[in-house]
Amino acid sequence: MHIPHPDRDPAAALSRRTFLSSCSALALSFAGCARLSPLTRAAYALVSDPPFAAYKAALAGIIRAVLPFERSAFPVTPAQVEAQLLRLFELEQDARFLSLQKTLVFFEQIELFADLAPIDAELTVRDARERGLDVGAAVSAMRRQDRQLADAFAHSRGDGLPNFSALRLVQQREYFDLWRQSGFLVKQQFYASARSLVMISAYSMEGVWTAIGYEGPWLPRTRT
Amino acid sequence: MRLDCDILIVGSGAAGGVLAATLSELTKRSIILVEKGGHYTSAFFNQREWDMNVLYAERGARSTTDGAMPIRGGECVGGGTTVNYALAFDPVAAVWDRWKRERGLTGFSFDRSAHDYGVTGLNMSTCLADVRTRINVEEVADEAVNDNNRLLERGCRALGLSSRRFALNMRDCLGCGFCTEGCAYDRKQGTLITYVPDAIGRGVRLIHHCEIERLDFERRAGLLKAIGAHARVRPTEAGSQPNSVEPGALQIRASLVIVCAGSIESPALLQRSGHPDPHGVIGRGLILHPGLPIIGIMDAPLTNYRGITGSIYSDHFYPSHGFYYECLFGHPVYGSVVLPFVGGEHFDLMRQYSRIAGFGVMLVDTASRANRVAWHPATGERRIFYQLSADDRDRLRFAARTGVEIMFAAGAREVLLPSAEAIGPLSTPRFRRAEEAIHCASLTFAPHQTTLTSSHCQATVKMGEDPATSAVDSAGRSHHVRNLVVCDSSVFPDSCGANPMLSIMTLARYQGRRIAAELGR
Repeated sequence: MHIPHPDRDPAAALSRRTFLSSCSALALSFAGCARLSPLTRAAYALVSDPPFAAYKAALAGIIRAVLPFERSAFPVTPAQVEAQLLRLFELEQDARFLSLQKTLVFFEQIELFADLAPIDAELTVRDARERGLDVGAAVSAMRRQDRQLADAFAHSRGDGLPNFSALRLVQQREYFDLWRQSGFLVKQQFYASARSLVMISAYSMEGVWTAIGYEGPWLPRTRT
Repeated sequence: MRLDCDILIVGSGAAGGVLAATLSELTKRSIILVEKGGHYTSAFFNQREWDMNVLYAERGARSTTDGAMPIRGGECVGGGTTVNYALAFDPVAAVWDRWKRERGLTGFSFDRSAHDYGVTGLNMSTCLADVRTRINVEEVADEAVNDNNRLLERGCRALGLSSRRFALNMRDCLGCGFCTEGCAYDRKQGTLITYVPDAIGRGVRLIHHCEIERLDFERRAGLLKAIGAHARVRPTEAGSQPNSVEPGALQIRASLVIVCAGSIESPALLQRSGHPDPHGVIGRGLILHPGLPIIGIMDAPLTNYRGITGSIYSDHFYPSHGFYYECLFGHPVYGSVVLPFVGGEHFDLMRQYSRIAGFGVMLVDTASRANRVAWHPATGERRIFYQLSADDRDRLRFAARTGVEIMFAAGAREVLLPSAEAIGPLSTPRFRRAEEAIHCASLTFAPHQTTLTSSHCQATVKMGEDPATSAVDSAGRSHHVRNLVVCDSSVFPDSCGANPMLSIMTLARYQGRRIAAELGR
């Protein structure tokens, strides 16, 4: 098992550890998961602070899934977008991205999708109770929905399930979209967050502005 | 470090800026104005969307706790008035009159001859006039209306719906189209260049990059009394004006504490300070004014992101359905996130950027106790819970349908909603004919399926005369802590009925004059 790398800044390390210990937004449980190896890796991701190498492939795959690099008119490369993303968002330094990093590790392992039942314990559950909802029934229904989505995806592929980063582009897009379709807010949130990070990274690049006919800042103009 | 003053004002936006200026104008008290964000001025505003996220709460990433609804809010000197579209709606007198009836509020007369609290000439109308004059509120000139706004006007006219021109707090706007990145030309008359400099010129001490950790309360003879605050001053970030104190811990002692941190941060600050809340009202009943973009693809290029971004709106359905159509437009970073799809389908939309028209629905939502801001002491997190009510969903469906019809009537060849929901026979809300708008009746507005936005948080520290249903009284005074006043959009009992900037500034001017008179007695 990989030992998480130490943070460079002791203050930041404390912050991240503190964040990790109190993080309820990504409390995860596994329903009937019998696949030890992926489960082990997933459990590791839950309790550790994954290094960039642990989620780099998944991140690169998502960048390819979100943006149309297959179109010749799209003017930037995956490497340029990834570099811009890492410049704009300090994934390795900013504690706010820890949940995203952990979920990227899960995301890479397709076979875990249906077994991954996020329990957004204090957020979703408390809010649902306050609104008088039957939390147990709602979670069961969402699990069934995710199982159906996973089965349909597996059936359409017709063979074994490799990791996300090994899928063909069209399948990567289909799999990424499963996370949008899931009933679990945490999965939907991951989809939305990952999509937003990639879009923001791409469309903040001046090279892309030209391709969409956006002229950019009006400056320099006379300031008062 | 410890500082002493007579009045501590927390927040420098629409409320705090006006209060600081008004109290420094009418009293000789020493005042400290603290701002959580930085002090950025026009020389810093470079019109690049992502660079300017430093002007926003959580660098533009603030959202409901489920991540579904972004909640944009200014977090810099000037607050929301630095990054908004300068839309200036007068306070809706009918709403304030209803609040007076329902909540037992006193004062807030709209009669120009009224002398509320026995203060000569104190009433909402004179305070509104003061504010309108200081920030130069004027209706947009006809020749300044750009193509995108003309389309909303045209679409409404074609369907027999009324539309109007916005009043804006601008002075000689150049029409660059970058209101939400801070005005690089000092034409937008937010508190950043009006009330805050007025206050500083009269001796008010501004401390920015200053996060109030907790308000300090003291118990004497069984009564709680606010005596100041503990804060932490962060190092000044690049591009900001210099600060007036060094980074580090800061204790501020004050005889009067006025909280103007907005409807998300004000309740969170009270909660983490241990403000009594025996009836569980603080943070409850959050209003967000959910916004739904209506996106049209036109046949020819149009002026959309250049010119005055918002100059036309329609309040046709406000009396009957409680929503507005407001013409607004986003730059590519924001637009790319709002537009649906991924891959080539998304890029095909983005490539039509110069032919995209846009306006938004702004829903006046109904208050629900379950919609709330909650401080979680175990994790030190502030959480925002929000769901649309059934009635709000119904009204939003109607607004979406009619909005799609307006866009087609304006000449769009295709209309989209920022949504991945399948509605009726449509796999997504992407309409080729106006007749298809009827399928909006199937929209659920499920989180993360349809993008709703918000930038008008209100009503989380409600005012009223009954402590069982409100946190502060008509004067903004805490029901439970003496020498503590709350004055911002959080004290509205529910929606103020329109874009809130002028309502907040008028309230601040009113309370500032009232407090000054009280201190003078």
